Amino acid sequence: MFAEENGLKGDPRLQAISQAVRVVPNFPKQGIMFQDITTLLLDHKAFKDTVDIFVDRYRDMHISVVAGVEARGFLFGPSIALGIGAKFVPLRKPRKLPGEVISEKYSLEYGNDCLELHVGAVQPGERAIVIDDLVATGGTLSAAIRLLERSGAEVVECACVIGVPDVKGHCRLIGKPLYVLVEPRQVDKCSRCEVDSSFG
Amino acid sequence: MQSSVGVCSSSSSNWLFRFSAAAASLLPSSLTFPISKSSSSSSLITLSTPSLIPSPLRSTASASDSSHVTVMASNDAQDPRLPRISSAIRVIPDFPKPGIMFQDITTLLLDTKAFKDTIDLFVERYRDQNISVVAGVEARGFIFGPPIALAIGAKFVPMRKPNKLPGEVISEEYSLEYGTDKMEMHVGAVQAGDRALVIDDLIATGGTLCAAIKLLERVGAEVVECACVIELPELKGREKLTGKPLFVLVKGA
Repeated sequence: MFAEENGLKGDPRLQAISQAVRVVPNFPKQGIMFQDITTLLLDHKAFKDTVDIFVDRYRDMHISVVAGVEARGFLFGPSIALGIGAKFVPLRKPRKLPGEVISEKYSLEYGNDCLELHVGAVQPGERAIVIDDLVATGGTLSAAIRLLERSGAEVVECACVIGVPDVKGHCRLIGKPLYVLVEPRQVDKCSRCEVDSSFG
Repeated sequence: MQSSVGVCSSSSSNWLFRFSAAAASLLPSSLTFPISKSSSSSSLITLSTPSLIPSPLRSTASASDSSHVTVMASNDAQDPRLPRISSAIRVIPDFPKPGIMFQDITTLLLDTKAFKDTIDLFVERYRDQNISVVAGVEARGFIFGPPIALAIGAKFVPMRKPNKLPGEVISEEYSLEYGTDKMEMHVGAVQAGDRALVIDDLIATGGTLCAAIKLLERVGAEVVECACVIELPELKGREKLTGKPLFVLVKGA
């Protein structure tokens, strides 16, 4: 569900967050309009508002685990975890985590990738949320959910800054509620880009 | 107390790691989960003797000393938050290869008080220093950097491996044990005159931090300090920072 449909209709913070994201055409390949959140991180107020919106949503939901997907999930997850008093658990690409791990494969457009979680980081019965910057097909989030459930946790929700509008489809795909702040933009109305042309 | 010396098996590396068999890391029971090797868990962490934070930051360099050392306000008392931070860090032997005692901060992130204290210690140090940029090195610098940036009112700038950042970038090559790697930063993210911190979880040889410093200086930023949770002092990374000060919370012996 979008934040705007869920209590934040007309919230001016959402428009500023949307405009702080930079669209980079044809990255990593032709036809993809890449949603670049690094410009959001340069806008202190918009970045803080992003974290605050998630913290406000989850602080009273008895969440004990915030799982963040490498690497851009690491940019948002820890601040949210600190804000709600939860543990932060990194979900990483293979062979990055040094201890004993469990792994979950997932499909890419071409081939597969794999996500790992440390054994013992999450206890049975814990309530968890999964954080990433953006949800597209939901493949990564699905793998994240499976890892947490294999550890006995209950995944309460997945949360992303950016997500495509067809959220009902994605809810079915990943099987869990999905909370998203803004839609991807097609053309670059990035607020920072208007200020500094070298950044476009 | 018995101690033994481990030597990295790689012939081209001369790293030495001492560990004390008796100094078992005292993780709270919720954190004692299995590590990949069955050795008795030995902590490499010794506590640094850090300071109260001077205000403003002072640093001095002796004329004869080519390595720039930050002299902090004298205070022998240890911050009471440090022991818990130190013992929350898990040491994993022989990762990523035999002879290396890997300092695993993921267990620190599971201890909500220790993680919060870690961030607070950095925030307390930098909040009045007019820092406008916190640059965090991929990927573990992304865990500590943003909360610090948010708390002190600074921008966060990710320093990434090649081909990850989508926009126009500048690159800096740096040495690895075998070969080189590259670090990238977005053009336009940092302006001339920005006052910057570089954050990573750990400093070893200092190569990564040095590359980050260079990228920031190439666009005219002033690197005020590098900050890490952990330092491995025997690797002398502190000397690689082109004279920039280094602040750490704990040291691995």
